[in-house]
Amino acid sequence: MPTNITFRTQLLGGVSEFCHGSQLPLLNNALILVELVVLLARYQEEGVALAPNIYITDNIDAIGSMLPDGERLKIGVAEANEKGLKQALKKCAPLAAGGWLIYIQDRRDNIEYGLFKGASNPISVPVDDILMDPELDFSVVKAYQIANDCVEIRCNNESHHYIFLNHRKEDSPPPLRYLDELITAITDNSHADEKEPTAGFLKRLLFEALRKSHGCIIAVTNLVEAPRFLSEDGVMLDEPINFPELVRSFRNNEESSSRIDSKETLLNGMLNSDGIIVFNNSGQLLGYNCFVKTKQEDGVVGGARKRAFATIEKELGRGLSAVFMQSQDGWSDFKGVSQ
Amino acid sequence: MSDLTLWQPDSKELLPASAKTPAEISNYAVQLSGRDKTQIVSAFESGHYEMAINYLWGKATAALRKELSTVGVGLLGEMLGKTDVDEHDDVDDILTAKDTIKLAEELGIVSSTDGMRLRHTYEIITHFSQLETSDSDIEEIDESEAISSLKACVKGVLGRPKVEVAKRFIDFREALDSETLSEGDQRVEMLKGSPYFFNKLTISVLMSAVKKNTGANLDHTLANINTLVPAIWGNLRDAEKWQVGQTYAEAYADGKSTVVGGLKSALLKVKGFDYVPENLRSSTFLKAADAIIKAHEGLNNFYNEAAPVRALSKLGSTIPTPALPACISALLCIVLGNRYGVSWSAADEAKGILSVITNDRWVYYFNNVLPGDVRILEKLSLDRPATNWCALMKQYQLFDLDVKNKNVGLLLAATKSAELSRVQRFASALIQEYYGKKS
Repeated sequence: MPTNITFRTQLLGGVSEFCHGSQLPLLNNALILVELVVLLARYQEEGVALAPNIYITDNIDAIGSMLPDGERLKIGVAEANEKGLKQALKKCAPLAAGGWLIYIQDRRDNIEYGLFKGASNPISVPVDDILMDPELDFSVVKAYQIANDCVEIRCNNESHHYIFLNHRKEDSPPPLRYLDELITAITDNSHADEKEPTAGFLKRLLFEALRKSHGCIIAVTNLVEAPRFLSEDGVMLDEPINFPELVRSFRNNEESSSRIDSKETLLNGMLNSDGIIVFNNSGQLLGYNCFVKTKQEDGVVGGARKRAFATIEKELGRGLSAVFMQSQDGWSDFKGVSQ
Repeated sequence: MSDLTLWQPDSKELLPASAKTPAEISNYAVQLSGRDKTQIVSAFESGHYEMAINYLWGKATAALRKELSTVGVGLLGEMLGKTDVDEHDDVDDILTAKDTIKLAEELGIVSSTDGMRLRHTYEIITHFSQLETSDSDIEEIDESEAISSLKACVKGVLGRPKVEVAKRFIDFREALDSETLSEGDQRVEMLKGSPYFFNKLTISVLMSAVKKNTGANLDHTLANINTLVPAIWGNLRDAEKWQVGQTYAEAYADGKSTVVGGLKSALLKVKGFDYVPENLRSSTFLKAADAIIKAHEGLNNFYNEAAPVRALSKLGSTIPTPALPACISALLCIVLGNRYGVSWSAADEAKGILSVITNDRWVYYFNNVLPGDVRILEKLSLDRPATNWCALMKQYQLFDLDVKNKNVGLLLAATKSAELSRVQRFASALIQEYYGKKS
């Protein structure tokens, strides 16, 4: 009699400690989290791939009070089991876009589910900065598909896993692993007043854009203008998109939020174009669609993007302060002068 | 412990009762030069009392402002609730005469009695300087008024060789963003036992500092918020608790992650997230209330008050709770007016807004705000505003509410019977309770 070997069995052992540490009654049964992870890994509704953020908590009211100007929309109540979880996801996932997040309130006997969001204001502090805090006197567990076949689970008690449902090696960096380093490099030289809100805004923007991107290279220069080896074959903007200035003018009510939001579409377009995107370390987007000449003798195994990354990596400290790369399957790398 | 305060005004006798003539009194004005004294005495002897008092007043306020400036213009701005003031501003530009006396009292340069006398001197000078030319030919300052004013200025200000202005509080203020205080620090214990004024001021200073500071100063400020807010939270009134919540909400909206992290930690310690406003609608109301106060305390107030009051009324009839203290206080300023009267058009509009405030919100104001609303309490020491107060309370029938503060209860009882002297006495008692002064 053959015995089935499944990811599920392996996963159950991997998350049981996480579930126990979360102190959420719903996750006393670790199978529920396993079910959620498997569901999220390739979630689709009506043939459309969806990647909702799910927050399981035992105090959604407290979350609401910590997110001023936020909103909450209760959708329904279900049984506190796998069936109830599937029901919650089916009803909420199609709505969980544009900043809306799914909540599952663990009420022991049953679950309440619905949607919530932080402030609509594009520069407000990211929701995870508020909720993923061990000082909270209640529990929050977040689950999110960070790339196809990869789900991030995170608890506010600081336990954190990336779960791969494919053949990836254990020591390979997860998708978007270097996003924080990239954001730090881009905002490194911006004014202190604008640094944090710009970083928060860019993080939110790049997180979504990179998740949808088919792969990209982002270079950060510590010069005011892009170095010549990048600018000579690329589209350099006559007027760079100055994110800290957009944040400042929005905060001072000189510009509407649509002016700052509209840059998301442009950045998505640039990330979906071939070539390298260039920022300076004052938070300005200088150009895109830039190409560098790569040499065959570099000995790099991989595609054009990987060879381009290897080429410009050598320019670190000579006009470049950081280089970030993400491949089509979500694999990423980062090199910075201060790294 | 209740007597432990960060400072106390100097109660030393500066002017003996035996000094009665202008020459004898001015002899004790150690901050005046010999030439100044001669000129003042000469003006008195010639019967030019108005000229003498104006000259003297200029010297006294200049001396007070100079002393006040030693504490730092930024702190003076914080104490006045003016958020747009920084160290680069000139003290003469930001302090009106009334502000100068108020701050001098709060920082212990003058006692509340001397402060009252200085205010009276200022009222006399303002009154006579605003008379029409024809009236000023008939009415003038008489000798007794002039000598009282001279005494007030010498006793309150010019008779002091050098005033050590609330040094302990200034040191404490500096420590708030330059070092991290531990829970066991003696200064934390002192703050807990200090009058409410210092608790309120400390919250104002900390909330203002997190908006302005960066780097190490911000780290110290946030660490101190996490020590001091839990230490005094139990004593704080709702208005100050809302101030902390409002600062959190504003920092959250502005994307200031570090500030939000620090304030969140403090609010979690005190379970204070009930005081975070659901939205920033209250900010609009707070700004509107601030505009009313600026118009009321500025020049041409009777003319300028109407527009900001109308602006507030257009924001909607339901004032968000976090903005309620500032809005009621601003509207009362308009309705009570000042010594010279009220702006009729602004007062009618303000009454329109106040008339829809429910009794439970008035209870909230009487219990949580009025005991520290010095601006209104000081108005009640003047006959005309006190009369307007009685009329307003009678119109809205606010006498039988569930008021917990004893002195507020007594104040309302006196208001009900329209006994102005008792109204003024209990208003004065509330001011003393707020500052913790006994003089």
